[in-house]
Amino acid sequence: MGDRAAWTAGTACKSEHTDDRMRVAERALAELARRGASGEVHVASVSGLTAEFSAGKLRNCSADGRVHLSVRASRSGRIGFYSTTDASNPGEAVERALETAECGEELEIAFPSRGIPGGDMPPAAFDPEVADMAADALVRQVGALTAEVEAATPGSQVRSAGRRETEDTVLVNTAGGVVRDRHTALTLFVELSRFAAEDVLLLFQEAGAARLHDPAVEGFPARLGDLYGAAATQAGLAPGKRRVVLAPEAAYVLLAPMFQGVNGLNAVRGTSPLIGKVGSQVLDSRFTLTDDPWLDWAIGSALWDEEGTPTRRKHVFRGGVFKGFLHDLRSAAMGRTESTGNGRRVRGQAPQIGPYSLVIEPGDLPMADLLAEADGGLYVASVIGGGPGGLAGAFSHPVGVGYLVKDGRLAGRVKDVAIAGNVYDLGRHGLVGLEDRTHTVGSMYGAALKVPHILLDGVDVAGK
Amino acid sequence: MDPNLKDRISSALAGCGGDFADIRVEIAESTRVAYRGGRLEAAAQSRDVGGIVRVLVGGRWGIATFNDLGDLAARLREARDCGAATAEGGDVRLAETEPVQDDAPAPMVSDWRTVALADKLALACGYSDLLMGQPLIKDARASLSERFSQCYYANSEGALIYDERPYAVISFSATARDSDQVQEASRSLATRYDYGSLAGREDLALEAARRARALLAAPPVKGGVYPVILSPEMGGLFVHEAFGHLSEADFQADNPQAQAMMTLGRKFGRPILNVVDDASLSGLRGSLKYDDEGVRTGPTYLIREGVLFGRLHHRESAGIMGERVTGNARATFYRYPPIVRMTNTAILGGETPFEEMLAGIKLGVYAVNAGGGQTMFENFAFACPGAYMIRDGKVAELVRDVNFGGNLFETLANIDAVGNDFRWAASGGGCGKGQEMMLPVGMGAPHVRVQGVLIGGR
Repeated sequence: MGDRAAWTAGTACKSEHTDDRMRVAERALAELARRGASGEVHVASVSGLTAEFSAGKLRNCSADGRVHLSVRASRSGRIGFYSTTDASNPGEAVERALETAECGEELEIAFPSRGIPGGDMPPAAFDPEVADMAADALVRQVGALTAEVEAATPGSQVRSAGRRETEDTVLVNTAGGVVRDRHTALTLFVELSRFAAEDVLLLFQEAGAARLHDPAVEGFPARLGDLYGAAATQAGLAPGKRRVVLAPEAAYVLLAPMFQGVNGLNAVRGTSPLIGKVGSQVLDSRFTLTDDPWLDWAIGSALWDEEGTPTRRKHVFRGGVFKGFLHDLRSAAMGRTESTGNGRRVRGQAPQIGPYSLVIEPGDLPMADLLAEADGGLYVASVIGGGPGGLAGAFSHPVGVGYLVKDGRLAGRVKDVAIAGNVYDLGRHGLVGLEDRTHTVGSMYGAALKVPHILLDGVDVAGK
Repeated sequence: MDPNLKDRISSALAGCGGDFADIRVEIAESTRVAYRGGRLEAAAQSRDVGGIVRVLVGGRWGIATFNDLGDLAARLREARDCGAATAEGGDVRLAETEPVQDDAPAPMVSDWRTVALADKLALACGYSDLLMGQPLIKDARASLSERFSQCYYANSEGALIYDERPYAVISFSATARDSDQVQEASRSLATRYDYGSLAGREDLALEAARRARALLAAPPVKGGVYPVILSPEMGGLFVHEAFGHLSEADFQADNPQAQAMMTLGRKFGRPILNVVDDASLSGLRGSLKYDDEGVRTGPTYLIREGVLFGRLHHRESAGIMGERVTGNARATFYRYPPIVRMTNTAILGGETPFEEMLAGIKLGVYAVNAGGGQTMFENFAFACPGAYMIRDGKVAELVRDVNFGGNLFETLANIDAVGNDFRWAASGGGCGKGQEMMLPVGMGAPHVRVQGVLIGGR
């Protein structure tokens, strides 16, 4: 955590790197004002190192550095957007943004002035040990992880990658808003495979954190070793309505359709099935989902979003009750409401609605009890495909790696099965229980997931 | 083309050190306009300038990517230093190719760079208004995305290539809502050289609206195992997902288990099955004259008469496996090193008429609309937002929420009829692999019948 005296509203973090970006941003902002327009300028500078291993050997090590200058301009009630990786001419970027605004979207966006942060302290998001990590140190770390996974999964073929990244961003707007941010990220990825005649096992594990030593990026080898070992034998499962355990890595089966439902743009457009249900019991009362931008050391945690709106920790579902849609400035303007601080950016693109860390509250079932409850059911470690019907809550996925649950353990790999259902039906009537702890896994829409194992009843399982 | 830039790239490579080095620079101009729900959602332009250098040091790649084209020699030194980050020896070796020097400008028929932004907006707006005026359509999107990339490639062996790569796509999606029921359907059309071909396609927009509306009344498919007829659009997606990714040799090159599984000569299907990848065909979504290592492209047979015949390579995988380079080194943007990717991949046409395929099915599924797909090598999945049941040899009712999955080996072996109506998909899809999304690829097939396909459903 930082020292409160070290920051003030609108200056979350300051470094020599942000000064360069600030000069570019201020030049563009001055040009916007000179041209009688309002708007915002976002400058992001990213530098990173990546190391990739395959078959126990370092394949490549790469350094990257890039800058994105993005201008969103508003003039005569119309919005235009331009982005470029050539930050040497901010005036031209403004010119091109205004050109698109001439015939752009009709919308009055209220760009935020210097906001008062919702939190007391900025979340810890910058680790100098990550920022300064040299290539040989990164190579050693990824190499050690690879060796550990290989030892835990004898006979497997392992590919792995590690990346450390530092991002400096500056956001300024014509309402006086100024946000400077600097954060780090260390992400690790492991893919292991086992090929034998017509039997292929493919397991993935991915995690990231803003700091070098974090529980989120530790524990890979043991988890992969467990799943790998349990796949040594095969088991069968008859099709029908079954109990299904969703592993934390498979939680997006539920979260992806839910995010479509809670996305404020879908509310404005009239296509969300949650319209008219704010404050209503939508899911089982044990289900609480939080969008948390303030988790220390989670990738992307911030006191302001990437449009300059103060972020806040908010329940999306609390005790199964739907608490509200997520908005950025644009959807808020369209829906005549306020941004929830969910304006996120994919570099080079206009802001869009995105979550931060998505946290499902744990339940009261120790893992052993949860597996006992799932006896005869399916443990889903991964699924394939996005599946159709996301807006209405329907999901349908072939299972990538699944296991039969028998006698409180994973009793062999089940192949060639698919699961289907509706997240709102199952979430309301099919929740058997939640594990009593959470796991930080991968990401979805750029958000870290911190979720428990979830046991559902009545999931449609199709198979041969 | 900027001759000065070409000269600078070429001279930066002189004396760069390492066993091999190359530079790829890309200057891309993009425009995207989109209407959603009858109102303009986005009018955005971008200019992306940057490059990537690779230096092979002691059997390992050192790589640097950058935006500033000012000091290319410094970027090469940076890459070389990255490659030397460890003393551990690597085993990367490159297959030999003939260094090419060529300029390959795009043969534009009607160039979107000369069309005013207002005219592009008017085109998308017209489609948007048409969509929003359709019964039960509560939301619709009409968008135009275009990109024109100027690519420069040079390597330490003497290759020096300038290549233009234009892509444009017009996309429609329609969302129909009736009470709590919400359904969506989409269509798209891609072109490489002809902006004019994107006008006058109201038929595609109306088809998206009609499909979304029809899905409102369609029941979910009942999960199970069925004989399935894939439309040419679905057949192209199927071969891309279910087999194409398995033929990309970068995952095999250092994996003896995978090599054993993919031994050339292995029988994968019946003699009616032929699969090819070919970037050299003109004007398709995955067409290229040179790949991103400067290798001239051409056809590669992957399956010939049911037997595994070839695989796709970049120079590294071909070098390690001792096979011929196929020109399949591709990167979505300059930020990524090239990896092995498909280009235009197809099941070649056979002899069976569609009606004859239907006649053999008592209860089955006719998969018409392609959604997204994914593979885990052995297993694959793809979504089909709309499909029809087949009953007693006839196409019957529409069903929704269809998601196919299956085992690659079983499914290829279970292809028992290949149609006589081959066509390339005209849609504007892309392919994701690793961190890279939406690489333009072409897909083609005739109607294909597969026995015993697993369909997830409720």
